[in-house]
Amino acid sequence: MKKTLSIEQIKEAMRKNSYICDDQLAFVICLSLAMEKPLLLEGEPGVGKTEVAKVLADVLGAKLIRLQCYEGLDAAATLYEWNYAKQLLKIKLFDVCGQTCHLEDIFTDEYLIPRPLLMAVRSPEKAVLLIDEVDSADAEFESFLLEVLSDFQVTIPEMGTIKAIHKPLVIITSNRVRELHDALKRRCLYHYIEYPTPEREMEIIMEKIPGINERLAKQIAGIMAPLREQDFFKRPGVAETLDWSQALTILDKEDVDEEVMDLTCGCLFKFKEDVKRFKDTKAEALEKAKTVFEE
Amino acid sequence: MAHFIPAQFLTEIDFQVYAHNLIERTLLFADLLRKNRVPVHTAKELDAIAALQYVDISKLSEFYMALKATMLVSNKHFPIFDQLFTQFWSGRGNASLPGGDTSGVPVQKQNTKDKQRGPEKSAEERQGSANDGKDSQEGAKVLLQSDSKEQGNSSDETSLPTYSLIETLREKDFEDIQPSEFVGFDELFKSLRINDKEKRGRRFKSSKTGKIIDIPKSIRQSRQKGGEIIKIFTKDRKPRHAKLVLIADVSASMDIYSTFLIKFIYELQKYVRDAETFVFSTQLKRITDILSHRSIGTALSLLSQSVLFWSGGTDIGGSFREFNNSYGGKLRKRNRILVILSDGWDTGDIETLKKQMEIFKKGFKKIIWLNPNLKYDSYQPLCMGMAASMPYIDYFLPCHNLKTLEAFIEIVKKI
Repeated sequence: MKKTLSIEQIKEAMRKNSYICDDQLAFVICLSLAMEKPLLLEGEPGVGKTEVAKVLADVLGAKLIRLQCYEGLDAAATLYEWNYAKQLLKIKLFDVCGQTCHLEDIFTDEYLIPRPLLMAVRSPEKAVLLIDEVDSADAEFESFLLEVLSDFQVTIPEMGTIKAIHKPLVIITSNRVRELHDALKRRCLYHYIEYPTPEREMEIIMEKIPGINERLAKQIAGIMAPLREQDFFKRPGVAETLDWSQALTILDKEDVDEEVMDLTCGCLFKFKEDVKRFKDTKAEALEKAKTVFEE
Repeated sequence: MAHFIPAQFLTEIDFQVYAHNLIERTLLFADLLRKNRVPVHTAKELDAIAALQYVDISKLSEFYMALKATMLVSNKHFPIFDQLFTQFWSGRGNASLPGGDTSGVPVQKQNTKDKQRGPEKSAEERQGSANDGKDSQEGAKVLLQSDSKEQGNSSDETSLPTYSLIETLREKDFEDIQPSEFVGFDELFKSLRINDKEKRGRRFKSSKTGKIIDIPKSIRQSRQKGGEIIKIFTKDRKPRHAKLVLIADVSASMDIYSTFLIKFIYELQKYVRDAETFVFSTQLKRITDILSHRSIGTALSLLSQSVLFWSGGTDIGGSFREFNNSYGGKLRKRNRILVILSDGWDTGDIETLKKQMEIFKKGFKKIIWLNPNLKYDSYQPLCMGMAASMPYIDYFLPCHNLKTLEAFIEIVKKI
């Protein structure tokens, strides 16, 4: 890599912020930084897509600007709004003082409420813009996003066009509730975050749950990997693993056994059918876990 | 999911040998991906080439990841990308592949002319999209010039087999599908969807994003504000759902197809509201509830436990009568489409069948009959059951591979 940050540097820096990332993810982040292109992250729920942006902001020492998408999100909530109340008060003030009010007086920065996208564009230093769960916003919003993402500029009719001084690093996450529009995908680099390997998952547990003993972490990681190959309706992600590990440490367990699996299965599975299935196959899962690290 | 590291199957040396005039070969590779139904847009091609400036192209792994991150837009294309990458950049047309899961897949070879046209076409496209990334184009130009010295000996190396894995799988008869191909197949099944938001009906419902102003509601709501309209309410056209009633034949003669068709119906039922599913051979059974299970594995195993007449004989007329008597009153509506999946081989009473079909015709909006035997060009609906039902059918369609099922979905959308 011929650029400021190498893969190793990124990995190391992210590890310091307790995010264990693999080569591929580190590489894509590097590439995205170098090419100044948005990065589209997809993956099963709970593999740490949003976390990437948070940690990256810390690593780069940049401000994190987060835009959480939801249905019905529109331009006003993402770009800017005029502070009408304040403008009205100002007009009133002019009136009382007997001065004439010009439009330029009330359409200034003072009366502008910047929303995440405008904040990212106007940011005086490089910022990390996280557009979270873009697939839960409407398709219209997606096409609106295109202008911002390709040119990093925002047009306010009363004030003119504002162009980004520093292109922000844009991280877009999607859970694939619906397929994203091609035009949006085309403007981004793409990375799919897989479930971590057992070794990496163990590292993550050790990093995130202080005070957990190594043997337990290893056992948990060993159970998770084969579990994800099974046909559950909603497979447990890393977030669930961490919840479970936390629960086991609170219970002061040194070992995972069938009884404790029954008690804590609510940490891993959120559907009745999945819980039942997990309980049925727990003995098998424990058995399999022993061989995971030997392979 | 197992991690695929191409370096295991493709050595650095292989890569060095075949990786000269990189730009041209990258474009060729994009072309190869496109031929395999991986959508690689021109802008993505430019990205890929722009990315080459930032990576250490002497390292295979970096090169691989750069292409992967820039060219692809979905993880469902990862396996085919990995496969093609190994084959293309090792220069070995038939390199042995990782894992055994692709062993049964036939390989389609196309003639070399096709591929030699590749780079020219890409180059044209590249010029076409001028404003979409000028920097990267310049970067590409510089690299192209440095490569041009080597172009003399490159022509004979562009001959590579083109694979069309997905395409073959789509057109493959369910009869010939190997168990090893099931995985890819399930993925394809998931892509068959009826997007019911697409079609808009005549009725309205209130909607925040709607463009039409709902005057009555706005006025009604204004009354509590003393008659001043403060908020304007909008409405939008209500989406029209395709309402389906599916009756599938699971008798012995349909054995090869029924598993696939049930899977198809399972996916269909997930995305179509108010779909009702029945199976029959000599009796009829409603399986809507079984198929609404979240996991297809559970659904199928429950199905095999509860449907005892699977692979039995066939009594189409009798089963239809049972349907009309028990469920007809509720389900026979003019806004529903009846879909019958059967080959029409019948041992029951023909007169009963005719009578039931007549009731169907009167009760349903449209009747679609899917018959796997329609794949034979010379097929004539001669068997008694089929011949008797023909006059009542609106659409008579084949259903022996994915392509025909896609066609069926298109027709349902249009009705």
